[in-house]
Amino acid sequence: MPVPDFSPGEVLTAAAMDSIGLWLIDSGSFTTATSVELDGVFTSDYLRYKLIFDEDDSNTAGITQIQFRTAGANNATANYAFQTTGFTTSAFFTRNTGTANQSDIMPNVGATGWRWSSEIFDPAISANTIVNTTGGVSTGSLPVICNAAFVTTTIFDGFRIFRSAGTMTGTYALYGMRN
Amino acid sequence: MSDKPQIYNYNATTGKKTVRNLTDEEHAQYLENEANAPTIPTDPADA
Repeated sequence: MPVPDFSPGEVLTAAAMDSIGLWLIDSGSFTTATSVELDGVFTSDYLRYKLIFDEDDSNTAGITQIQFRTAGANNATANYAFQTTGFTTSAFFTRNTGTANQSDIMPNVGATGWRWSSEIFDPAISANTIVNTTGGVSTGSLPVICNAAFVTTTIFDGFRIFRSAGTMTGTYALYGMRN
Repeated sequence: MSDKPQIYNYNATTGKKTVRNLTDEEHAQYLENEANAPTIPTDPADA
């Protein structure tokens, strides 16, 4: 598919719009939030999604985590598996679980100002949902990678990002990625 | 401005964004989580 070349005043065609690879589904901001929920955002329109998140946290001992949702209800079953690795200025750290009731996104290593993005694969079809996240902090040195999966074939239409302790203030944007 | 933390929700089906305060039960859980936040950095046993 050639890259569309739009001109001022041009009437956009369905074909041109359908060729856009990354489509903003929703964006917003939040203040002193324990949880940010997005429902009805995973649909048959896209297989894969991009989530970008900026958060400043009130309690650096809290972990940023994710649960998927269906029809407005959290899925807290023990089907989330993840591994987190990172490197502070002084030490390498890792954290993982067998299966848990949620997955980590960013760890609790005494930092705030997290800036991270996730690719979310196949949430709206009957397949494992995979979440690959990379991020870091806005000051200092703390790169983090978290690979996660919901390890049963469940169809979701949404998710929530939440803190295990404390609140977060920031912004988010969710995009659908066309095939 | 609320003195309780909040939950943000966007529903793409209705197109509505809502913000609500934690319920009393949710707030009690929040305070408990705050009090019991693990020493950092954690190890897998804290999951």
